[in-house]
Amino acid sequence: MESIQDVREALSARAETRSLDDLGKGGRQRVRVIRAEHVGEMIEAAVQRAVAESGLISREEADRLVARSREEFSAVHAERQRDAEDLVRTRRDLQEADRRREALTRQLASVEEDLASVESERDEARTRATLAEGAKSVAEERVAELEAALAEARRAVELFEAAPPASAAPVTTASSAIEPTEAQSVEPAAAPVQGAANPDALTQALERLTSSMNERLEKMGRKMGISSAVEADQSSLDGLFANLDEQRVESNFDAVEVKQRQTGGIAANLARLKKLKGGG
Amino acid sequence: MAEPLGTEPHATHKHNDRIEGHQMTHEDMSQNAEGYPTVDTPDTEIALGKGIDLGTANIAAAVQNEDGGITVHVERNAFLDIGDDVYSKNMLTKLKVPYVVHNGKLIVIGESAFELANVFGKNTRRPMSDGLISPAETDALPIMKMIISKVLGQPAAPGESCYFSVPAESLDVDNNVIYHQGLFASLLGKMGYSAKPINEAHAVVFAELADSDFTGIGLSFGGGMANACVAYKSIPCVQFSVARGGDWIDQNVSKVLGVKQSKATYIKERGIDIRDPQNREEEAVAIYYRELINYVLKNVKARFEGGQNMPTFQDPIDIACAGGTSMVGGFIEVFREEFAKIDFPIPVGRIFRAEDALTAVAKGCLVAAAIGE
Repeated sequence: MESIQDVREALSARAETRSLDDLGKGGRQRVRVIRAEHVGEMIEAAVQRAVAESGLISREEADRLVARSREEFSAVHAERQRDAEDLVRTRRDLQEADRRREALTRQLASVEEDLASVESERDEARTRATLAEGAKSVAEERVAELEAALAEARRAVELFEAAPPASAAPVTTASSAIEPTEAQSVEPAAAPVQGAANPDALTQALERLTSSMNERLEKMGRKMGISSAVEADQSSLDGLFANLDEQRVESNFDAVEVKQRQTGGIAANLARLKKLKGGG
Repeated sequence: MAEPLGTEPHATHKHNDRIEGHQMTHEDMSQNAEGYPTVDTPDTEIALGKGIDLGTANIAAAVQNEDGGITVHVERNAFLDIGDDVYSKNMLTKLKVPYVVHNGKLIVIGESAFELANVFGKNTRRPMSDGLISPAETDALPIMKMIISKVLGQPAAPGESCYFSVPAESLDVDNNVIYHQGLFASLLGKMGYSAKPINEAHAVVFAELADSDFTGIGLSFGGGMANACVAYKSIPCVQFSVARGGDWIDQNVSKVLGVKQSKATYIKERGIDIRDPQNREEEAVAIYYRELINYVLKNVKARFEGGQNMPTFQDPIDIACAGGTSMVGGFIEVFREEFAKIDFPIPVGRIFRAEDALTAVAKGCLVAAAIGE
């Protein structure tokens, strides 16, 4: 029975299953059917008959060979089964690996999107920081200018506040003339602060203040493009080019053409300007 | 600063190519039928006078040509020093790259310097910064003298009038244009020109606002700064500048992207549209462009609101934009968008960009030279 079972399994392993419809489509209306047990019995009988008729080996020897062949077959069969199981397992692992790869790809895409977003935010932040830095430095300069102007104004107010009424001045001046203090003689620079005591010092302080304010107004005027100052004659800077003229330089610049562009004429502009000037 | 309107007729000369080969003398000059001085040469008669835009990024010189148009020669105001050896010199000559040997260094000049700097991942050296001659660049003067000589050529007649652009004093930095102005007046004078300065935004008014009787606002967006001029019938009422321009954009883009400034300039100039940035680099350029435009407009608005000497305009005035920095795609559209946000205190008519924004200042200088402004 064992050999019949083996033959059935071997036949099953090598046979293919077809439906009756498929066979019918292939033009087969009737098929012959044989049981696996019958095939096994026929094979076994044929082998034993062939062995007995050959006279090459004894009956016992033939049985032993049959037994060994069965063992061998069982071993090969078991090995095939293991291979089949391994194949199924490997396929399962492969499918699992594919699933993991797809998941990781999706995760990577998501991380890349996040990174791009973070980079964009970083760039924007840098831009804002740079702009803010520029604005800050401009603001600081303006604050410094305003503070300087404020300090100047405060000094002016102090000077005027320190100045006594006109009638009191001669008394103070006389008193100072009779009894000059050490501080006044040693530190003449302190006079404007006291002041008041000295009309010339006050005048000088006012002149300095006026000059300073004029400078500021002129600077502001220049910046606004509304300066009414008369420009001084241009200083000659010809000396700067003396050395350049003397130099004999090695160059191919004269041999190279520069970019040239042709554009519309200026006749219309000149005609309008002449008309504006009353000449056309 | 520019002198008051004059009445002298503009002189004429006969143009012989780029005038380099022929140095005119007083003996060559005569008068034409209208009584204007002319120069006797074999070629066509054209008006005397030249205009030159001394920009931080580009130097452009304009001259009238025999076809009634104007020819503008432009060179980038930059240079780059490389190792001085025979092989490099031969190679530069073969490639028609302009160079000069200066102080033992091989110096590549102009546009080629910019291109090489980008190839080698270096920054160009710049003779000017923030609209003025750079105090930090020791080789600025000889390099600029060479570039100016090249683009301007020799005067067609002794003392030919040449108006050169200068910036106005800045609202936001403490700069002084007197030295810069005197320096280039002397340089051009040494070359044989009768040199006169004109504010670059005023030049934009001369070039672009003829249809409005030279009344309106001229804005020059240059490499180092942005200049503004409010003019009434060609007379400048208010002129000022802010120390932000194309370089300010490049510096900031360079910082945020971590690239060389020359590279940032290249990104900006490679033909992008700031309304539709295509990547992170273009996005950065667009952000800073918008900020620059907004900053300039706010300052113009503040001048109008705070300036006592500001004229009163009965009709809407036009705003003309020019300068290399305004050449980027989408500039004028973004300008209009930002303008719409700030509630400008006076009615404005057209807002437009000069047909050739890069050469408009040079053209305006030429108009001033030709009319004797």
